[in-house]
Amino acid sequence: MRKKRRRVSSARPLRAVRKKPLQRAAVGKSAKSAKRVQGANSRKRRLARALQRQRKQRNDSPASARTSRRRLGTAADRSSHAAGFADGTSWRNAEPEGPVSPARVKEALQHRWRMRNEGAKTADWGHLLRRGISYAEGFMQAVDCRFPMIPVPLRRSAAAVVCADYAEPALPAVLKQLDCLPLQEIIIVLHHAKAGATPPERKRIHDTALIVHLPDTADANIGRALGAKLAESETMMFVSGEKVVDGAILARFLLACDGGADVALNDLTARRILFNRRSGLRHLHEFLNATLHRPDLKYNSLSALPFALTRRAMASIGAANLAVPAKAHAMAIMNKLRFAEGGTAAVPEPPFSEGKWKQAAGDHAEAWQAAMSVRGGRLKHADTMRNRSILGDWER
Amino acid sequence: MTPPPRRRKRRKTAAARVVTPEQTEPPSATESWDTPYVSVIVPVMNERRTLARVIRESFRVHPKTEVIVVANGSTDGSLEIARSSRAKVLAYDRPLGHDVGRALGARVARGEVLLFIDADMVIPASKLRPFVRAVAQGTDVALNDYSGPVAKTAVHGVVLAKHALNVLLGRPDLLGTSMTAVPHAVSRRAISRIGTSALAVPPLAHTMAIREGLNVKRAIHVNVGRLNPLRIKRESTNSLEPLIVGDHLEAIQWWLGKTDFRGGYDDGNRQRWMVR
Repeated sequence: MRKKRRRVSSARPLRAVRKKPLQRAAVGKSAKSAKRVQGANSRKRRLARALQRQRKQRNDSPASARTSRRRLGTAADRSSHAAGFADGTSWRNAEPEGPVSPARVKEALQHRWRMRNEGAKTADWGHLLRRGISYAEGFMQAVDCRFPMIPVPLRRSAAAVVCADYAEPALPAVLKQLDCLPLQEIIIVLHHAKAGATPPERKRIHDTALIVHLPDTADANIGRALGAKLAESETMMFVSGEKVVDGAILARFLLACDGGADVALNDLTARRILFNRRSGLRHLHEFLNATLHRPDLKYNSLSALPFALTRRAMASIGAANLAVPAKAHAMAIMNKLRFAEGGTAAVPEPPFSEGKWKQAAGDHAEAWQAAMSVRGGRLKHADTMRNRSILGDWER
Repeated sequence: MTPPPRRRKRRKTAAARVVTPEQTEPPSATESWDTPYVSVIVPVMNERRTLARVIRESFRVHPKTEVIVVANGSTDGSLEIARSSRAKVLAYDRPLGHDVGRALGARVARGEVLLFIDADMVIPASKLRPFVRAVAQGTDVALNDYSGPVAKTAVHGVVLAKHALNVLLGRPDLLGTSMTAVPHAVSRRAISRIGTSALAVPPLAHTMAIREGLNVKRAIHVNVGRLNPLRIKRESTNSLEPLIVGDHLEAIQWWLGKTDFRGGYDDGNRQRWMVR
């Protein structure tokens, strides 16, 4: 009976395998033993690859960035913590006596962290994130003022735009994650599904954000496009008001746009879902990229929140097109904007029967319509092989 | 459908008729009793290794079968093999390009069911009959239930194109099946609605069939992924992927022309006038 192959799940922690040299079948042994050795070697290689993947995921995952004493075990974390403590002490000594506001601490922390990373070569995101959090812990320990904070060494200003219903239960948690980030602006566009509903008080939403009330129910894409028009920052990040995404994942979008990219996409491909397990909308994303000669983008798209754009990208795409995400994505590709991968956030997908699914399919049709009006019906995938004249005139 | 009767004697091979498009005549009164039920269309360029067997299996699909071989640009003797069989032969001295042969063969076909196959793969008649049976029972387009290798993170561009087109047309149940792949069978009703010329661009014919509200379904699975080495070598140097992707875009363009800029999908409650 054929032995069942044990699948190595990346969710389970793997024990490190003692490195043994690959076995070689001895000369003169039977074909059966050679095959057994070959099987053992390939199993070892598979295990090693799975370990490597798990280590990479651990480095990039936000859970690794949580404050904890045991994380300060690495030398880099300890040195960042010490640097943060030193900077915090010097800043506190320069400040007047008395309690300090979290907003001032946040501003100073972000500024000092940016100065520390000025001119430094681009580090691995996971390392940069952990060192930043260690630095923030040290700084806050020195000034004796603690709050959740993810410092990101940004050179340009950044804003977040979120659109939600008045009664959206996830909105407070979404805003709490945004408060951890070094954002100059937070723009909240609120609409209500129930006619005649009273807008909530400002203090129940956010203290300092710019809040826009729409008079009626509005499509979330319209709300975000309107919010984008009001933003003044160099980088704009668009976040869903219905799904909470960890601040550490969002930070990566900001850094990607700050580092030279015009568009930072939600990297859906990092989850390595098989083609036959993906939804139809993902196939549309992937085919749109392929037909616009960008197969490297795979099935990442501006249709998936969150994403970030620079001011230059926003001007190139146009706010009106941003209201149709797939079309905005096509415009971004055709205008030769620079793409980068931001973080990886799960995106809930509507079922086939729902209106949202059909709306997304229509958006892709609109994207192809827009692309074909510029590049022609076959989008430069020419037919140079067929002799169509032999068929004569044909009615379509 | 009753199975064909067992033949006791081999019939003598009749001289093959070379039918050129100019000589095609409508069936006369004496020929009407011999009208075929199934027309098997086989475009061929250079497939001398498999053509004879393909033609033989095609004749076994139904007792009243005509086989139409569209030989274009044949240099390896495929034309002579076709002429020495009982098949009708349309001969062209130059290659016509991918799938044009299907349209030309369909124009002269007289059967109620048109079955399209390729000449480089011998599919036994037992695997072709279910397609004919499906059309006989009311399906207008009976597709090969083969979607390509999809248990991967990255699939071939053509597999992606087929899946995406079906999703866009509101038929995700068809997965990656399409009139691009053979074998597939089409009813006479479908041909009268979409015409024969569109068969030269199979994704376009597929889109037209769905748009016209025809009954398009998956029939049985025939694994056409195991290609012969000569075809693999041919496609590695001159890949058809850009052509087929462009065909799918041509189909989308046609569909947008027949619906609207959103393909007939609703815009929801999007108040576009709010944003300029």
